[in-house]
Amino acid sequence: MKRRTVMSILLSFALAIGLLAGCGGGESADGTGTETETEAADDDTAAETTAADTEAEAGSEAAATENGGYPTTGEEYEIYYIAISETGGQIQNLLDIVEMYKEQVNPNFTMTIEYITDQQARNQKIRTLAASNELPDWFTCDIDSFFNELWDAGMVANIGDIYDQLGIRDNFYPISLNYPSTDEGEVCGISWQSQSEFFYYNKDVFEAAHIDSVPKTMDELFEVCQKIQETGKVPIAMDGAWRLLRFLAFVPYRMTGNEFIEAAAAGSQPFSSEVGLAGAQFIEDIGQYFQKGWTTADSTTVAQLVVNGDAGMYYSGSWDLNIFGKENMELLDNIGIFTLPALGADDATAPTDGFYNGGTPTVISAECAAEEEFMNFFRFLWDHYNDGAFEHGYLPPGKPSSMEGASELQKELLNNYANAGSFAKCWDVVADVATSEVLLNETPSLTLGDLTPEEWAARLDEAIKQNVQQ
Amino acid sequence: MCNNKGSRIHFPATNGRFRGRVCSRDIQTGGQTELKTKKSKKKIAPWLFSGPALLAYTSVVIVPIICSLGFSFYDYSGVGKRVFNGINNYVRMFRDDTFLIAIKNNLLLMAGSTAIQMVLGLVLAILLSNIRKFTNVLRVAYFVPCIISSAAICQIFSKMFSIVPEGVIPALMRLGGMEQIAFLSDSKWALAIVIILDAYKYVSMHMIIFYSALMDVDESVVEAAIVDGCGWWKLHTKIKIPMIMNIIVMELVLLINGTLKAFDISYILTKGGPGTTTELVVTYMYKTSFGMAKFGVGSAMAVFLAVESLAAVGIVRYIGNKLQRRYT
Amino acid sequence: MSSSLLTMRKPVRVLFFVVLLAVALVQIYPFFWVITSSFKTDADLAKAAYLLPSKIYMGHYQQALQSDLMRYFFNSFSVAVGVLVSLIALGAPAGYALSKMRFHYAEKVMTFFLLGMMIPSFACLIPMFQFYNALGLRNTYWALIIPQVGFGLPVCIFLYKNFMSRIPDSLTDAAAIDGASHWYIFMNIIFPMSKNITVTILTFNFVYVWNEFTYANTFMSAGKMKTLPVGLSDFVGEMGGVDWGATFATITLSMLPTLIIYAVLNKQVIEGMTAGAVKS
Repeated sequence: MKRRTVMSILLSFALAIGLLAGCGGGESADGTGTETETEAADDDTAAETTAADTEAEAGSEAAATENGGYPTTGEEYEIYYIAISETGGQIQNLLDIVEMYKEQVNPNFTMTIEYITDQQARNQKIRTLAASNELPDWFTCDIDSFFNELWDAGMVANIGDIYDQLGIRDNFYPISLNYPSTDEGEVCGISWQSQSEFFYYNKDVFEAAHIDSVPKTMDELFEVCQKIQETGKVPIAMDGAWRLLRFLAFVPYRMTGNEFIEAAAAGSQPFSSEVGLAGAQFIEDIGQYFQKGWTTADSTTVAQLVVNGDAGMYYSGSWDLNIFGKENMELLDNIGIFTLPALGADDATAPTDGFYNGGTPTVISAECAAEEEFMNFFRFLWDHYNDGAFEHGYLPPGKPSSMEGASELQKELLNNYANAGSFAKCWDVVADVATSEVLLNETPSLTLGDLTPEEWAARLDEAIKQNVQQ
Repeated sequence: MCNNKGSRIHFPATNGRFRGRVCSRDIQTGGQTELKTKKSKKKIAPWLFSGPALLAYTSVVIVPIICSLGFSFYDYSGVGKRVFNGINNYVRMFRDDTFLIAIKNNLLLMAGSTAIQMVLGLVLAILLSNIRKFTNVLRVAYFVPCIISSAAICQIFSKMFSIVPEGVIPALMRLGGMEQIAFLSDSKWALAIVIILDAYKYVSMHMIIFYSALMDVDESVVEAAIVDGCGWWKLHTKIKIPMIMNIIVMELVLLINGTLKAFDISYILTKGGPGTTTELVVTYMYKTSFGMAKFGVGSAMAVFLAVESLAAVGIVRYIGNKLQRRYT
Repeated sequence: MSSSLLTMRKPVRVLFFVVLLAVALVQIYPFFWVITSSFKTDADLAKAAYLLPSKIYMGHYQQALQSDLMRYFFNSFSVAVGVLVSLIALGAPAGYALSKMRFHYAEKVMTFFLLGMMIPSFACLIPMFQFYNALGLRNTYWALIIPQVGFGLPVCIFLYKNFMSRIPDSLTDAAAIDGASHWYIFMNIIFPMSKNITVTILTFNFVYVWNEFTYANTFMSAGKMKTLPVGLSDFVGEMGGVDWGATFATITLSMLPTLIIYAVLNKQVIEGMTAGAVKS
């Protein structure tokens, strides 16, 4: 006991001194170090990595070798990656490729992945790391206003440039490049899959409500909802997350494309304009067809409602095929799909346009992108990644070398994704992070009827004023 | 004749062997002498004993909070430069309607949850102190919600409140012939449910504190009162409760301080929603700092919270001291 | 206990017992529910939540045990031991100094400690992260132990101080006259006599440490350093889908140690509370 106390005295002294030092160090670090990294990311990487190939051969280090036709430094190298979830095909495919790389190319390579499923907890961690100049090598991050600050500070890499160096840009489908890109059109994130969004519906529920065709227009959608509700079932299964903001975007997207949300997020068009209010009105009207208590429901449970025939429709996407599909990736027998209904003849968007995206992007720190072994791995990764997708049950972000192993449905979805003219932007990503919080807070109130569309719009306009125009 | 004599609480029996030894020495040396002989040592010794804790506490809690409070005078998003902006963050904070709503909700939660935990805790403790059998089993049972993590409790309750598929609470409402209410999605109910769950999770902790205080009330006082013909009700209201008034005040301090910093139930169960109906000061502070990346304003909120807690606890202690003086 | 019971008739006591039992059922129902749910098949889980499982299904436990649950247990346990040992080692002497050593600044020092109770720990997260990072403590148990000790000390010292100040001075004075040092008095008289409050502090802090999420999420990156509360989200998918069965099984398993410890220590906790909470 005596010794323990002495130890603890020493420990706390050491700690106090260390902490004081740390306090000073932390503060001086924030402005300076980043500028040099910027240059490395923007200009030098091209030179550096092309040089890397030759260097690898000429280099005096014994470890610099070429294995399986792929260059490697052969040195120990670790990539630290903050990802969303361990379950899911894309991450399993990535892990498989890491293993292949270790086996075939560089046994000293490791990838340490930390999974943080809760979005707030993940953002909290990434923001803490960023504030301490300790960005992870790779991390999952929406291309939002926070990311733009990292981008402007030169802390994250230009992925498009990396694709160009590797000569693989053309292999990606357009949306896989355009979705994770900055306002100036620079590709700044990795799309891991091709996702398209649509409604799943239960055929038995539709039949019982005497609905013989899927809704083509928003008016028909309301009719369908009404008919299902009359049979006592839940028309639309809903959870309380990002999904609601998609519903909010439906009408404005059909009316103006992405023009409205982009203007609104920039503060040049108020939410209380005609388009904004139309979107708000739509969600207030459709809200009565969600199941009771939807704000705290979770997606697994509500998706199951549709599979079981307790609810009629569920807006989701291709990633949910593991719930709504069979082992062979075709839809279950009682499930059908339909895409985003149109408003009418005056729509700014084609009926086939809708929400397509590459999933939440992964971005790469500028520091990591400047590493030679990262480039070696990245080259290897993209030579194998697209071909592994079908096997892992999802759709690749770029053209696979063959369509073998894809179900008919997957082929169709991939075809739609490859040929989609435009894609709808997600409001929570376009709006700055502070306004996005308000959007996520106030929209459920609007849907529940606690706010009128006008009140809702007024709160958002106020938020925009605070966050954008100050 | 139930007066309050003898309200000083005696030291409970401890290790008998030890006590005996010291007592005999007591007699030998004549007791009350103090450590006057070692005056010079006395000055350093307390610091040697409390120093490690003081140092650890200062370096772990005080230094970071001071660093962090500095942020509250800067415009700081976590990336890039900090821009000094004086008290602007404080001005912005108080102009933010959501923050004002959060304060209001938090005060309601403080009042509601504290009241429930005090009253229910005390009532349960009194009941428990009046039965003979199974007290041990009951005490363990009561403690279960304290042990389950908040994340788990919230997941469990969101399932129990769910209407489709039907959870146990809507099912009971259906059986009772009531219309089912989606409590967690209903702006009229959500805060009440958060308050009830907050109280539910921690009530047993406070119940046990009250219980042990009641068990510790001097037996001789109780016996004397009973001999004087004091009935059950009077025994509790006039003797036992006044005798544990110091505990009640201490509990009030702990509870008010705890509920002002309440976070997890609201954050996990309702995410502050629907709308802002269950937003609390700490949940909003967390969202502001890490969601909106406005660390400056977030730090200002932390300052507000510390001042608020200090004020609340100060008021309680002031009133508490008066109460205690009246009863002792 | 005994004499106050005399004032009550038996039917009243039975009524009390019934009320207490009803409350106890409400308190343990969630626990019961999560255990039964952990044995449900996925099909059962999609049905009304209050139903009992149609058959006992162990698959979720297999799944839970296949994850790194044992590793998380070990991590949580190591952190808990570290926090509890440090808390007592730092808190008990401080409590002694503030209660038993006539010392001019005692009141001020106590107030300084109590200030810590008012500080929300989120407010310190960024500086703390920067310090621990600079010291190379990230991904070590220290990064979880240090903040929880720091924020646990105020209440711990508060309880020790109150408890110890109730130990009559006559006991220590005697030893002091015999020439015993403060350290001797503390180690051989006061600290052993404070056994009950020590147990109380241990129990309550264990509950808290066992459930801590934010530090564990922020200061740990390596998967093998995860603690149980962070590990709970292992069964949440990319788009927010949750594997409820496995989650419930994990919740059940993670609750058991705390519950067992509490059941065993329950008596001492009550005694500790009794004395620690009551000011003389």
